[in-house]
Amino acid sequence: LKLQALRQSGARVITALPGDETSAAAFGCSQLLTQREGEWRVEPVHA
Amino acid sequence: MTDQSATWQLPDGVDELLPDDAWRVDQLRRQFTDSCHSCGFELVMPPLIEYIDALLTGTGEATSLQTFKVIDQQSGRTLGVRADMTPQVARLDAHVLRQNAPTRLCYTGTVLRARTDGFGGSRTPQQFGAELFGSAGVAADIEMIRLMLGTARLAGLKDEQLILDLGHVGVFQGLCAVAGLNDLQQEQVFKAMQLASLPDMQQALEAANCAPELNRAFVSLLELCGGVDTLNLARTRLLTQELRGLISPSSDNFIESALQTLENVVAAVQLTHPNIRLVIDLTEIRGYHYHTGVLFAVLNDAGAVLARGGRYDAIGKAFGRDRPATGFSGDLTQLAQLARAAAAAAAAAAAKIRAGAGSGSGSGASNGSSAGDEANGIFVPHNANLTADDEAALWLKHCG
Repeated sequence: LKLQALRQSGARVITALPGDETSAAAFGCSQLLTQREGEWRVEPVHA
Repeated sequence: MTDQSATWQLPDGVDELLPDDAWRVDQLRRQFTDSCHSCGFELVMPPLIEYIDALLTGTGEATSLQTFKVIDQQSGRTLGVRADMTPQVARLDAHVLRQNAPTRLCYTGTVLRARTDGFGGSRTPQQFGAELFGSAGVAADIEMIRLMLGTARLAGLKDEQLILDLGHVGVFQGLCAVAGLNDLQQEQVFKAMQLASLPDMQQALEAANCAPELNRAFVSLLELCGGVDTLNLARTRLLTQELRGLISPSSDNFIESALQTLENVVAAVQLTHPNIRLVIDLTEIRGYHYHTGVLFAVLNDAGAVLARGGRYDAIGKAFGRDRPATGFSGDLTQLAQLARAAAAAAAAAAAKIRAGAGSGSGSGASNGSSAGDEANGIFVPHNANLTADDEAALWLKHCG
């Protein structure tokens, strides 16, 4: 649902596939969707 | 004397779209590519026509029969008009893009087919599709299935109106491998499967001189179509002790792995699309020469296919670069028509309910309401006395 909401808001969201070591930057992504303390947050890649 | 009425007639299966339908199809195309973009897919536009050798590389006889062939007046070589864009996109991935990371590509475009698929079928479908190259795991299949289901949603169809049909060629291929069937024997068993014919299956198995355990397994495959419970039934019937005894311990158990993949797909789809009807169909092994894993198709509740696809890991090999691949495609025109029919049926049902409730509004379903003729435009009447300044102000106000 989070992914769907982000995409509907105009964001381009690419999900990493198991075993793929390609960096977020290589996919043209500057932000990461990460889970912290049970909550999903969008953070800059370098954080 | 020439029959004038025949002059304007279009060939069988060749369509033209009038504004109403053309707007709908184009709107759907834009929604599809936007949706793909939001999921990280890149758009590619392969050519309409190519040298026949390149166009048919990695495809089967069926694609060759569907391809219009013409002589190029410039080179003297034979050209083919694409009948399917998927192999073209696979060629782009393998030959042109040559990335090591997973590559997500989407495309839309008209394809031309030498023959219709069936009664009333189009020979000029507006193909849409998406492919994911470079990832062999089930997660990639799940991503593609979710994107495919999302496309049906874009067309306005709700999950409750959809059927997701899932199969896996690994079950059939696994049984053939255990039985040691040669190509001819496989083809005969495959034909019996396609016909869902028990006598043909028995005849093919008898000719192949299969072990009784394998005969039972192939025959039971004909019945393995139904709800999600079919997977349990498949485990009971296909993973018997006798059959396990025939599988070499050193070789992979393709059947078990195929069933496990399908179970993973079912669990993932149920998580995001709990209202969709799932059908497990192990009898459906279309394109088993081409496909190498899970098969999927989304259908409406009347059984019409909106999009279909599957895993086809072998195609890259034909282009000299072996890459796993999974994807789907469909016809935008057909998708738009089916979505429109579903919307009309829903509107008619709603009108019936309103009439039954005695609302007395009398509005009912609007017959002509569509994307193309909605009365929501702004009309500017002609004014001969408009000065240049007035006109400039008008443009700046509405278009600036």
